[in-house]
Amino acid sequence: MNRRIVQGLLWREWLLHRDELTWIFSAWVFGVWVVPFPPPVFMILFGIVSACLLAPSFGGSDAAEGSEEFSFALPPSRAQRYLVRLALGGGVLMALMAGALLAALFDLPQALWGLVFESTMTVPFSPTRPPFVFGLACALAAAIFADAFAAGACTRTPGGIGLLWLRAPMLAGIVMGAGFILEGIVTHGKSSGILASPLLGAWTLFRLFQGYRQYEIKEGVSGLPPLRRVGSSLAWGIVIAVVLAVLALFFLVMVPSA
Amino acid sequence: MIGAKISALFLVIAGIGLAVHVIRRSNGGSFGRRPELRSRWTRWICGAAGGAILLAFGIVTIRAAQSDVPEVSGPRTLRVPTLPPPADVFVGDRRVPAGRYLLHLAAVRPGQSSGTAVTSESFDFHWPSDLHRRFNLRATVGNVIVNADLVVDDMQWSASKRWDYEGSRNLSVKSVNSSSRSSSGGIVLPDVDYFGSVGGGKIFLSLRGELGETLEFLSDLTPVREDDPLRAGKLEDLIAIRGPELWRNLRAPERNNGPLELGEFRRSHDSPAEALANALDFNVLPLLAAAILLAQLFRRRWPGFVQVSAAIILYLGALDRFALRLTEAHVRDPANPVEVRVDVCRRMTSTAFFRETASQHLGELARDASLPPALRLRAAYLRGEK
Repeated sequence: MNRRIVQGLLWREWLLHRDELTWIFSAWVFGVWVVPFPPPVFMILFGIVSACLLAPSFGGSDAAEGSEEFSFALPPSRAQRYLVRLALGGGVLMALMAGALLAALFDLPQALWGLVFESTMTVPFSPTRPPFVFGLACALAAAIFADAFAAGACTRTPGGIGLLWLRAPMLAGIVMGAGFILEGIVTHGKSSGILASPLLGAWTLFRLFQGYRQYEIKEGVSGLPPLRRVGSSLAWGIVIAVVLAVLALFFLVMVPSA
Repeated sequence: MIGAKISALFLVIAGIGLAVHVIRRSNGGSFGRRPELRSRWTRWICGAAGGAILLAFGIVTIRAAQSDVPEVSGPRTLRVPTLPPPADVFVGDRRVPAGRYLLHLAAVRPGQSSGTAVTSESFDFHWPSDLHRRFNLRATVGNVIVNADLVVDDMQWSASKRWDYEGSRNLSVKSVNSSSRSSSGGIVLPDVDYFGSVGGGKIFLSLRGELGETLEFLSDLTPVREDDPLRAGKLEDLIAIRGPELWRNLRAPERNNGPLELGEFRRSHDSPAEALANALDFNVLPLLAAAILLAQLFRRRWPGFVQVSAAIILYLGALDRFALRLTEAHVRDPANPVEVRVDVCRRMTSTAFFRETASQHLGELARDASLPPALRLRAAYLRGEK
């Protein structure tokens, strides 16, 4: 690949998706290092949400703007665009998942907080049973990202990435469920996910390869994207108010019973 | 060890600072691409509100660390014999109850064996006129009412050469929010029983809370001469009637684990997030609100929220350490009455972030020969020493 083109594409994608990447990185720092949550729970939730956010945006940003055919007229090839976006979006997601996994395995956040505190923030993570839940979390995030990314890249309408955040988890869930069922049949009811992870991995590779082949021969999407409201402060305010209300209800129920 | 920790901390901070500097320099983006700052009024109001929450948190926490121990309103007297016990009365070759007894009822702190009980009273019990009579011990400890009822219906000398009693006892604890715990059953004398947890609970906007404690209920029936004038006594005098060994055996060993058992603390939580939520309880909400408000001071909210959250946790740690120092100074202050110092000593176990330091300092208190014995015993118990 032409190094200057790749650098240019990386820079473009970084400027375009900087806010999303910043948000995801902040969530990762918060959940892994600042207030270390139970790793399996955090990794699964973080992986799913991050994949649903990043993948459609990285894969289908040109199509969503209705400027794809103009982008295809520029020097970078379709293959270069696809791979650079995959490397940045998927690479960041997998790097953060790997970082969370390492932190969980070696109690790294506790070691960091242990420089200042002696208890509470230094409580070790309880052992995860079964341990390859971590592998399942990474595989699930990768599968969701791969499907949403490939589908977003190959979308044929400006509004085509709208429901990818729903479709990708559903498909990944179906694949994972099939893996558990197969395992249940093989091990006579003792499902532990050891088949589901490789199945999700295979699904990931299949979708990425399929998306790559389709994107190479894709005609650019043009046309006006659907109108979107700009300005999300009110929406965020409502989200924060709902979260605080749920937390308040939770503690109102917990405090009298304690 | 401390030097190594400080060095490691310095390296971590330097590393983070360097990473931030490099990221900003390699950003390459023009200032025009940065998000706009929010309006001045928004920043001032949010900053003031968030800062006010944190300031209130600090003030309430420090005041809680310095607050007086809960007042006890109730009897705190014990009477003990001054003359040797009377000779046993026999019918044939069978020992029978007769004459005068002292019924001691006392609510004490876990493991306490000297000093003044939380509440106590000694009743004159005459056989057989006081059979079926209800003896009551009742006191208010802070905002909690502690109540104990005991009735003796009969006593007989058994083949195992001890007195067997028929009767009932009822222990109850009731707090101002109407929650209550009670237990009842037959009686064994002497005996050590347990009230439900007395007090306890978090204070709004405070890292420290009121410490609940499961008080022990000591009861005993000892024979005394009819002409014994009795004298006022302390808990150690009551213990001495039967001997400390007996009372030590009556106390359940698993209940004598001091609250600073570090291994138990670590095993009881799955993650630091759970431990932190448990330590803060409902105070998580105002702190979360403060973090959200202070995050508005940053151009980018989410990284700002993360930075503010980390800073708030460090702030809580500093408050906790300061409160621990205040409490320890209160305990070591010889101007305070011994009973107050013994009560306040327990507050050292409410630290959230410095349990090892608290345990170490309690150990020093337990070994300090210049301190009153009751305080040293209390410190040893709180540390988990048997």
